[in-house]
Amino acid sequence: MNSDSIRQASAKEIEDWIVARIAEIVNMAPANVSADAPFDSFGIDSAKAISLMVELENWLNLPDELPLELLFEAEAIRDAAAGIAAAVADMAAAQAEG
Amino acid sequence: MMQDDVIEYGGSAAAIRHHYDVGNDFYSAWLDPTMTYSSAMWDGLPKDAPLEEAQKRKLAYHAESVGAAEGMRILDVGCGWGGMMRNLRSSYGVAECVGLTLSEEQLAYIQQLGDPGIGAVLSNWHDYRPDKPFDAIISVGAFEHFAHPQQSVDERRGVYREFFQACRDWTAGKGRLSLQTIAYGKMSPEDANPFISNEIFPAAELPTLEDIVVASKGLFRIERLRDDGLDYARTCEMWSNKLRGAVRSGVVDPAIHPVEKYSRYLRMSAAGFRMRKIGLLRIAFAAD
Ligand SMILES: C[S@@+](CC[C@H](N)C(=O)[O-])C[C@H]1O[C@@H](n2cnc3c(N)ncnc32)[C@H](O)[C@@H]1O
Repeated sequence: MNSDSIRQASAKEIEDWIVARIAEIVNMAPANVSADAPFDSFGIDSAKAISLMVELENWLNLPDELPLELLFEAEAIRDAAAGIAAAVADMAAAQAEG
Repeated sequence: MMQDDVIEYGGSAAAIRHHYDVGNDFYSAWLDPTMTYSSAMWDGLPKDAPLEEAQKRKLAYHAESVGAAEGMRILDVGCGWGGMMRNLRSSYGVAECVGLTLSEEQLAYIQQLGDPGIGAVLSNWHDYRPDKPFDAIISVGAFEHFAHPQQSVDERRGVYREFFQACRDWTAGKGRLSLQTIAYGKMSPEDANPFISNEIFPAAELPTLEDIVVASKGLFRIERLRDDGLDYARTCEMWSNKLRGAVRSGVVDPAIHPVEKYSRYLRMSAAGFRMRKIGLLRIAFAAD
C-alpha cells in the first residue's frame, strides 16, 4: 500500500476497530461493548471522542476529516461504521480521480 | 498559558489578546471571506449550503432581529473583524456603526477598511461611554468572555446584569438587542475541559440560560430564543476542514501557527455541541 493511499476498510473492520477503541477507553472487554449501542451511551467525553476520531482517520490514512455526525448522530456503532465506510469509499474514489 | 490572577471586570483584555492576536492571516486562512468568527446559521438554507452563505444568513438574522434600517446608529459589542457592521452598512443602509473590540489586530483591520460610517473602538464594554445613544445593539460571540471562572454564580450574574443595564442605557431604554452566545447545556461548569478552559479561552466562563434570564429580568423582555448548537457544530467542523486544507496547500505553516491546537479545539467544540453539552443561544431582546 502506497504511503498516502486510503485504507479501504470494510464496515465490519471499522466497527471492530471502534469497538476495540471504546473498550480501551472505558476499560471494558470488547465483548461487552455492543455495536448496537449508540456511541454517546458510553459516557466518553468530547476530548476522548475526538482523539478516537483522529486515530481512526490516521488508521484509515484519510486526507480529510470525517464528519463527526457520522459517529455522534448514528443510532448504533454499527450504523456509524457503515456510514464511515461509505465516506471512506467516497474519499478513495475522489483520490483515484484526482 | 497566562499567569493572570487579576480578574478584569467585564472580560479580560489579556485573555482576548491571547486568543485573537494570533494573527489576521491565520484566521483569514480558515474563516469564510466575511471573516466571521462565530456560529453560522443554516435555518432556511439547504443542509449542505456553504459556510459563507450560512454566515451571511446569520448576519441577516441579527440585523433583522434589531430591525436594522436606513439612517440608524448601531453598536456591535465584540465586533471581531467587522463583518456585521459591513453588512449593516451595505445591505440595510445603516448610517453609523460602532464596534467594540479588545483586539488590536482587529481594530487595525477595521480601520483599514476605510468606511467613514464604521468606527471601531478598542474598549471593554464595561468602560465604554458612548457620546450619543444607539438605536440598537448586536453582540455575537462576545458574551462568552464576560465572566470569569473564579467568580461565583452571583458575581457572574452581576456582570451580565451590568451588561444588560448598559445596553438599555445606551439605547435610551427603547432599543433592541440581538445576542448570540454559547451557553452551558447538559454540561455544568465543573465539567469544563481543562484544555479549552486553559489553553484556548483562559479566563472565560460560559453563561447558562438561567443566568441570562435572571440577569436581564426587568431590563429587557425576551422576545425570541433559539438554541442552534448543531449550527455551531457544523461551523466548527467546516473551519477545521478549511484549516486542514490551508495547511495542505501551504497557506498556513504549522511550524509558525498553532494548527494542531486549533484543530483539536474546533473539533472538540463541535463534539460538545453535538453531544448537547453546550448550546448556542440566539436571543432577541426588546427594552419596551
Ligand atoms: C468570537 S469573536 C466574535 C466576533 C464577531 N462578533 C463575529 O461574529 O465574527 C469575540 C469578539 O468579542 C470581543 N470582546 C470580548 N470581550 C469583550 C469585552 N469585554 N468588551 C468588548 N469586546 C469584547 C473580542 O475582542 C472579539 O472581537
